[in-house]
Amino acid sequence: MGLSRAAVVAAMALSTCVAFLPVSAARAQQQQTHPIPQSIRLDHEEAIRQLTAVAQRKGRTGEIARKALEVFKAHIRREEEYILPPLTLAPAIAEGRVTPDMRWAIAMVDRIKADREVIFAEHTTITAWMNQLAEAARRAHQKDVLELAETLVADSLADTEVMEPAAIVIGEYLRAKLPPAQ
Amino acid sequence: MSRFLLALAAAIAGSALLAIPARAQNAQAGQQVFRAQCGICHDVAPGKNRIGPTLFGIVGRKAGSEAGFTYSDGNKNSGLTWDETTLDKYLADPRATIPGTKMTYAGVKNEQQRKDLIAYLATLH
Repeated sequence: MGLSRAAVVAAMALSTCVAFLPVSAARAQQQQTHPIPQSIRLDHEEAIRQLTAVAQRKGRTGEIARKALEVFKAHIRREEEYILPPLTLAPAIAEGRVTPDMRWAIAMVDRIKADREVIFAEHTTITAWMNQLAEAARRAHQKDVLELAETLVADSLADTEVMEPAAIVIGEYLRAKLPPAQ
Repeated sequence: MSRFLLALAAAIAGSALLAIPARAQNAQAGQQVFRAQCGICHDVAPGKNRIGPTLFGIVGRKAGSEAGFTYSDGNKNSGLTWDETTLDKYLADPRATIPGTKMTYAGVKNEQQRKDLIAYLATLH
């Protein structure tokens, strides 16, 4: 049974797309291949849900939240792309299991190390927006918004103090334990 | 001569009296800077550490020494003691002054705001 003309055209189009797959799309595939810990995924979803809800308010807090949301989402995308996936290997490594199919985490960790100051700068931007949001919330007597802003800054600190260093430790451990890639 | 000395003493006393309200104004403006830029992380009550350490008694304190706060190695090993000069440098560009600091803050780029903020911090005793 031969291929229909439509199927051939579709296949050609697909091969063209794959050939010119932009880096960001390739990274998106990488993201799909390597998820992040479920607990952190839930935290991210909840943070975005709450900040989006504030962004829909009228007034100064809503205005600041709308701007902060863009920065926050961009940072979450970066985290989910290559900062947090190595952490999914922590339970297996803690049980003493290291296998060659974990090697992908080393490349991600190299990116974290290369981008550390950029990542830190994103945290400072988020903190600056949260400061503005907190100040506007105090003036508007919006205690829930103030608490959200404080929580998101604390999350930034957790990323700097724990998540990013932990991911790097995982990558460096794998580099030490696995034979060099062929 | 005694009239001259009297006039000189009066001038000195007068300038001192003028300086006090000016400093108080600086501190008042500095409190606004603190609220807008530092308040989400820092408290000013003694012993109350939050995302950042309490800033009560910051002037004269050795960097990285507030009890009950976990500092970065960079901060602990900086060898700095917080005074007008060190605070001014740090607040202008924290990460450049103390590499490895975990304070996610870009700094106060406006010189007058920094002076005002430091004047406010100096009142926290």
